[in-house]
Amino acid sequence: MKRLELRLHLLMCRHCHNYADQIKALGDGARRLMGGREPTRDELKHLENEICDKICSHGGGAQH
Amino acid sequence: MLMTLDQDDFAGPDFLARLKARDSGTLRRLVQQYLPQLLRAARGAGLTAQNAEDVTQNVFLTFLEKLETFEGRSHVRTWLFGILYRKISEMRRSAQKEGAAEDIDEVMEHRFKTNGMWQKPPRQTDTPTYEGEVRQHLDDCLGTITTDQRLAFVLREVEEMDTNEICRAMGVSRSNLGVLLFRGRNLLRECLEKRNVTRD
Repeated sequence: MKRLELRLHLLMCRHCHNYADQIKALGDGARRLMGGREPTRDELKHLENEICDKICSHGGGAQH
Repeated sequence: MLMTLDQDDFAGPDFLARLKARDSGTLRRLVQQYLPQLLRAARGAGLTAQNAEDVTQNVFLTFLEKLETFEGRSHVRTWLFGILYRKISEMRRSAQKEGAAEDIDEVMEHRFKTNGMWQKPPRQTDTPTYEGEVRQHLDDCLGTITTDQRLAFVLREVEEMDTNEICRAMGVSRSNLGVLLFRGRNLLRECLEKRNVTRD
């Protein structure tokens, strides 16, 4: 019910509608910005191996 | 090959038992599954690429050290993000003076009149243009908010984690998280408005 009230309010109130648009765009912008900074596959693999080597030496299990 | 499994595959008692037995294949799958998310969140929290890598490595080492105490009551991802949050907080505590937590009433009163109207109404955005400009300025604006606000924002918006999981990972109540998100988003929005990243 509260969600419905909120949606109705966003339909009627220009300022809150603008606010919601800005917040949504902020999230979308952040996802695109940070998604574009993903490490490359090779960098990820290198780091993954480094971590796995350490974890295995701590844990005592065999790896590779 | 990077293996991506469903979250549920990392939540069962069998998985936990294999982890506790230090099964190397299970540990590797855990790293493969969560390394990209942890790395992204660490970068999103404002760490340099090198610091983000160091912190992420430490998260997995701490995870292994504390594994015996992990009872599986929360999802393993929540636990990993909780460790990440504490590592980032420790790193930042000495380097940066963080603002004190604000009361939600104070946050609301600052932006609304007593009749409930906006003190300074948000401006209209041309959405595609706005999104493009957000990307240009967001980095600088993220530097204006606290680490807690920033991490809450990244976990919600970038990692798309739900409220309960973020609360458990960061050790905050739902209302505290609400304030962190509200305050962080507002500061980001206002920072962007100051840079004229909106259209009247």
